Amino acid sequence: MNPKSSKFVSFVINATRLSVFEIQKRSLNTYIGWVWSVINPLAQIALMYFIITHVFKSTIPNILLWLVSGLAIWITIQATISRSCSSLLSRRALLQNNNISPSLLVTADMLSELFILAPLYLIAVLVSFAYGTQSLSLLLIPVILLTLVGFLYGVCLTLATITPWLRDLPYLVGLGMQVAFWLTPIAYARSSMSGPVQVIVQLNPFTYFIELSQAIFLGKPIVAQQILIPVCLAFASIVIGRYVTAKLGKKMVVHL
Amino acid sequence: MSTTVRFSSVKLAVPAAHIHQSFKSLLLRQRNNHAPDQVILDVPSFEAKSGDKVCVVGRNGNGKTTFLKVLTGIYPATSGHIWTSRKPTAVLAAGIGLEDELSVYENINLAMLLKGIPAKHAAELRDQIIEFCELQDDTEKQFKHLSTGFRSRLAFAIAISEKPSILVLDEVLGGGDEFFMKKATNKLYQTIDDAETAFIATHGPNEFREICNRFIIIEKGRIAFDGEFAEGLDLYRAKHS
Repeated sequence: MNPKSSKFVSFVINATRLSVFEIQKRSLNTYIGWVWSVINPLAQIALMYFIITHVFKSTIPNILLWLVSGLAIWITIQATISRSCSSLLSRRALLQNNNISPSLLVTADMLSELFILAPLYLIAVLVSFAYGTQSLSLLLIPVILLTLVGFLYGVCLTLATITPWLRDLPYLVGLGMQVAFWLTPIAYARSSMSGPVQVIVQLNPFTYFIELSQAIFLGKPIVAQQILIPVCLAFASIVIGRYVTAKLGKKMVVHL
Repeated sequence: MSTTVRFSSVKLAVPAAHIHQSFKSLLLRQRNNHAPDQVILDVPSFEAKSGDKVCVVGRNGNGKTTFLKVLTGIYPATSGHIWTSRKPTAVLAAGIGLEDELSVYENINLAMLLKGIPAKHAAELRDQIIEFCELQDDTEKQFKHLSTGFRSRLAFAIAISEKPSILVLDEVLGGGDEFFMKKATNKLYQTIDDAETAFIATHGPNEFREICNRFIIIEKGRIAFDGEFAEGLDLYRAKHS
């Protein structure tokens, strides 16, 4: 293995090990431990299912699977992005006294939030079999996971690096994510939108990850564009994240 | 003797103005945005060679720790260049990163991970740390349930666990009983002695008289003296007594 690949592999291993510590820390001294991390999103999905079917009387077919596949990925995106703002800021002493890679800490935090997606996707697979919507599209799960990791990696690096300069960012991100939820086709289908709202939904990058996830589990035909857009978004996000880190990464430590 | 550390025209500047804490202050004190940066470290030229054990002294707030942080790459130099033959190991503060809720065993594993020590070496180091701290019977105990003395022991043992080539050390000796302090001091001296080049920032240079051959005084972010240990110590005392 060449030194670059070996460095990358060691980075991934260390980030994964560190993320395990993060998950462990979060669930210490509780009786059911990490299960809380799964129960919370499941409760959100159940609540949303009730609102959409009983309050809004939605006519979307296979609504439970629609919601599980869309909300699972949304909950993960929201938790990961929100967490990233404090990834470096909350580790001021650690970063100011040790030569630790900020990217490692950000990636570990990201992975510690992304792990929730595994049991949620497992549930989505089981529901898709129960609904009879399973298809070969399920083989694309690793593709969506990889593109999502790439996309979130770039977003998280950027936010974590900028936050020490712009301390209002966590509040703005919290607000932005609430707005983004309603501008992403999770509780409704994009086709039901029209006019400027449809354009906004179309410009929203999260839309493409949610729609790909829904298409995979609902067994809808998937066109190349549905995969290419998330791949391009992930690539652009990584480039921006790496650029911001290269420009500001170490300077950020002084500003913490 | 080969060069292990080289500073060339290194400067570290930080904004002189504080970050605005409110929208009102941001609007009313816009002038501060244009305040020039303050240079907190200015080292035109410095070299350390293999075998150098450098005692770094200076009064509070004069830039000792900043010098060490720039040397280890924790702080980036605003201008100039720092070259090191190997990646320096920073031991600047003991106990940072230790988690109250994790056990002794888990805390050591976490620390090894943060230090970037490969898993294959981590197991051996972990056993050495536990033995050194005499915590063999309490490896599953949560850190928060350790006595203050044992917390200091663990923090120190983790901090000093590596065998670095270039050692950068700020005062890390904390509490502990008389016998442990003696053991810790010996371990510290051993680690300094084993390092190819060592930098030790201290307010008690006398303790390092036997082990350091070089003395630097940092004043207002500049190296005011760089030379023999005895000569430097006399000068430092004469200046400030």
